[in-house]
Amino acid sequence: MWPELEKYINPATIEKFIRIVFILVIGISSIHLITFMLRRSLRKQLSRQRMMLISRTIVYTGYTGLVLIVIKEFNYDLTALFGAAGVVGIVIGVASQTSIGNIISGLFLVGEKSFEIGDVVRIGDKSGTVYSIDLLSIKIKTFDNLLIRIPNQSVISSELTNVTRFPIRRLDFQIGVAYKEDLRKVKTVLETVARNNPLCLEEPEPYILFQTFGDSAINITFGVWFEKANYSAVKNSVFIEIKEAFDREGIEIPFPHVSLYAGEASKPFDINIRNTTN
Amino acid sequence: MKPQSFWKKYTLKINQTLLFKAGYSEVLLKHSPNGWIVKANTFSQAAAEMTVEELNDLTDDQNVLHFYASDSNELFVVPALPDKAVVFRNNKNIKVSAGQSARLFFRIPLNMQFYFGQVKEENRITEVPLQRLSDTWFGEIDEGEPAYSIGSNYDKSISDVEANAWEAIASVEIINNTFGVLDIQRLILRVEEFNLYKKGDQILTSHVAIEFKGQEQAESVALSVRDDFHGEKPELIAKSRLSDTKKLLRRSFFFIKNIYQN
Repeated sequence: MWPELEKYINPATIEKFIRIVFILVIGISSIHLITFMLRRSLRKQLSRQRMMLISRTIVYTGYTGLVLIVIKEFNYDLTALFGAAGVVGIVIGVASQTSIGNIISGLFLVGEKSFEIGDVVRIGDKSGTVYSIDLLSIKIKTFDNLLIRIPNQSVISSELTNVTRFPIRRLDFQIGVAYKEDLRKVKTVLETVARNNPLCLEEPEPYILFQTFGDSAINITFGVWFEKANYSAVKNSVFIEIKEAFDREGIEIPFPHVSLYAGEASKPFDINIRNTTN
Repeated sequence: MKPQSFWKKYTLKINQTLLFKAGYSEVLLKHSPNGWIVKANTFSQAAAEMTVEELNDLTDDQNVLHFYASDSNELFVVPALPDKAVVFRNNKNIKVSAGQSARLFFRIPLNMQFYFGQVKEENRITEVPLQRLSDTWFGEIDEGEPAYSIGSNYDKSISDVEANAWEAIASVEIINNTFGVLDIQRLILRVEEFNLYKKGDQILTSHVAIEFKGQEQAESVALSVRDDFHGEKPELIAKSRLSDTKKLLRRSFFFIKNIYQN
């Protein structure tokens, strides 16, 4: 047994082993050191997304190179390996079309810059904060703290809404008022609500548009501009203030209702509610 | 109470409570054995004048701030300009012809800052605006900066300015260094960079000279002290929030290019 062991454990192999360990230690340390230094120096110039992309490129390339160096140390013939890799590559490529599609879609997504880590996005019926942008997918953290993984191919082929791309946004309220109301007064009341709410931006000015003569009410769109961080506060406060202002001014927000008529010239049906006790 | 006797150092005994009332706000401050207890309130009507009075006690409820600090019994009440830039919205068609200048005066509501021991950032107990200004946006909707709005009121001479005791007066000189007419639509004053000076009963900001060089270029903004505005020996009562810069290159005007994209 011992002579066979001597074949593997001898000064030459021990030296090789030490060299490989040394290469691995130096290599891994260098890769992480380079990544760390790049992150520190480029933190302010680049977005989180780009930093992540660059550091992952360095890490993957670095480890690939390290593996090839270690394989070379074992005296394996790399040319044969590359030759086999070509065939293997074709097989893997066919088998992993979807994954490759996701990788390429991911590169296009990053290049397009339509969203970044930290942005709030809406894809289909899913909304949340972009948590990470990875090789095959993006991950979104929903507002109720769930993590959704969406393949990059789905993202690139879907309509995506970036809610927080711009620093300010407009929040539209759809309001219906009764037909009997004085619309000029309604407009004044809404303008006052916006003016008195300090979170509603004075400029761009609030937007009031009388939309349609609806079935039960005159429909109005009332839009207020705000800084994107104040969404909840603005929505709740303006909602409450509209209701309070309308109550104060006696402006009716009607329920959906239908009036019955027998014919053009006749009066509405007389409806009496009877209290019946059994 | 005159403004100069409001903005000063107070010495409070343990458990002594003072009520500071100015503008639309009031602040109750109690010197406790291990720091300060603070409560701030706002009102829909401004107080007639700035007052300080002693109260029996301050009720400790959920709206109260407990500030644990050293046992210093010195309280400094200092005025400050708002923590964001302010925007003047011109509704009255102010135009400046080529090569000419215009001097405008604006009233800017102050904030009330409270410090213990020394007037430095880490010793600030609280800061309260004396009038809550409306938020607004200066610039295009896809870029630009947040600011407060000071409306469209201005005066053409210092003697016309009727400032409240809790307002500072800003003197702005706009120099049109182009060959065309400057139509002042929106003007931003980065008050975080202004100092505050006392002249008699009035509180004045640094004098601002804005040189307009064209719509596509940033304006040159210079802050200074002027004899005709500040007097010969102005008393500096508050330094700017940001570092002391005398000359800046900034966007100060916004020109409305098209109807808002509603």
